[in-house]
Amino acid sequence: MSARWDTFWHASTSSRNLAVARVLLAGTALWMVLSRVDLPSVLEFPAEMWTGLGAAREARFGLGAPLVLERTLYAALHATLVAALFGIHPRLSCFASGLLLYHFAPFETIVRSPNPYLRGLTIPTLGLLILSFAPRMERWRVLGGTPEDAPAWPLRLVQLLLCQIYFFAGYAKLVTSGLDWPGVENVRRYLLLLNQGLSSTPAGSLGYALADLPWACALLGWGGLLFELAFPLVLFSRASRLVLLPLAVVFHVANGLLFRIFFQNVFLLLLFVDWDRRRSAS
Amino acid sequence: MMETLSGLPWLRPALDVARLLVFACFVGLGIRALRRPERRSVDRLIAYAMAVSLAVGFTQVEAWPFTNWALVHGLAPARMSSWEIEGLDATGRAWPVDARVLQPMAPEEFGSWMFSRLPRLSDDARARLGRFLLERAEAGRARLVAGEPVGGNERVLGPLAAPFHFQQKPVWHGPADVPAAPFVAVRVQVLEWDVEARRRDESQVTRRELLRYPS
Repeated sequence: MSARWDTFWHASTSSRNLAVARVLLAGTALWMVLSRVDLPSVLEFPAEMWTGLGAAREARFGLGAPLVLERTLYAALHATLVAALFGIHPRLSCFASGLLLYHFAPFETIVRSPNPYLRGLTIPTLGLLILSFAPRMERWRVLGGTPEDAPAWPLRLVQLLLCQIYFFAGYAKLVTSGLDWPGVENVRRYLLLLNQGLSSTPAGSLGYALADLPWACALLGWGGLLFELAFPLVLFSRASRLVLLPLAVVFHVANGLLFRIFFQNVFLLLLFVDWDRRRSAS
Repeated sequence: MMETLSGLPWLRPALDVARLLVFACFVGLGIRALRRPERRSVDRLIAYAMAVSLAVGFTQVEAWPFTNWALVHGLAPARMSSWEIEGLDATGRAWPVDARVLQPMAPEEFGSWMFSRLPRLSDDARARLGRFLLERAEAGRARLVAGEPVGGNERVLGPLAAPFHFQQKPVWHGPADVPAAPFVAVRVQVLEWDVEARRRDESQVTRRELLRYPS
């Protein structure tokens, strides 16, 4: 057990892989915050929307500051993410970005839930903090210089967290709905209702077209569930990466076209690519 | 069991504090691993992050940023409900309002809040919400007529902006979708339908007014 632990967590990887991880995490977070222009302005929504929070929840995420301060901090988040993206004071910029993302990500959902997952900022929040805890990160370079051996554990930990998105999405379906979830009737109904709820012309949607094909519904249900549960294999085998990473892209494209569900972390799949195969065993 | 627990007034704040401590402990272990980069410190950080994230996943009880990742995990209901905002012009004609006027808030967040809380709001609070929606709808209409993006999310990145998780199709495509003169009133309607019946006939949707401003 101990040897396997050491082999998995304490192997070395190329410093280029860690540098690319920093770029991917910061880039994804920056894309999200630039796509949520003036996120702090949700504080201007009617006061009634904020009355249910409570002091403990405000303390949990550091809420309650005046709008002008929140806007200043949101601008600072942009600056720290740009710095993290380009490797400027990388430890400080990654750490500050992680903490500011922890503060701002809940703004997207807090009137309904303090759990803003699947909004694109969860993995960057944890990932940028994890990278900031890694040794010698000032020496990581995406381009230029000679990549050197670096501890693989920061990258492995972020990869593990990313795998959990898929695995626990499948697990949640099984514990909540059992084997009825991937059944034809359930998948057909999701195809119909999501397009009815989200599309102005559901009758012309791809989801409607597939809903009438039982074999397609079965393939989507069982195939999707098996894919989600199997995804963590990418942590252990290069062969499984060759199969499951392209499948993940197909999975997200299908989710977008058929169910109108968009996955903002799709570019983070590149965390599993070895960007310096000559040096790295990961 | 869950109903009993949710009735305990101290539980939710206690859990929020506990979740803050879970996150603070993660950050603390990370800083320790950085200051003392020996294997034991790093192992503690890894073991902690693994333990918390797996516990959250298997129990499905969130401690964000460690989270449960559940999505469309229940069985799909046979009946669905949704909502839409309509703006009324001076002639009384109703125009569907594009939910992008609520950005940066996603429509599903606003809708979830509205369904759960609106019935309990006082008349004054309902009026404040209605006034807010009218102002948002009118500002969006004015932007559309002026050729600007309807919502704020696309102001920097334009069409490259990341969409919301649930992709709602735009209602407004051009100035023809809104009146030339300002909205004078707004109403929120609840839409309800049977999924299979609507599959056969798109018109099988019932509408019920939830809010109107001015009332």
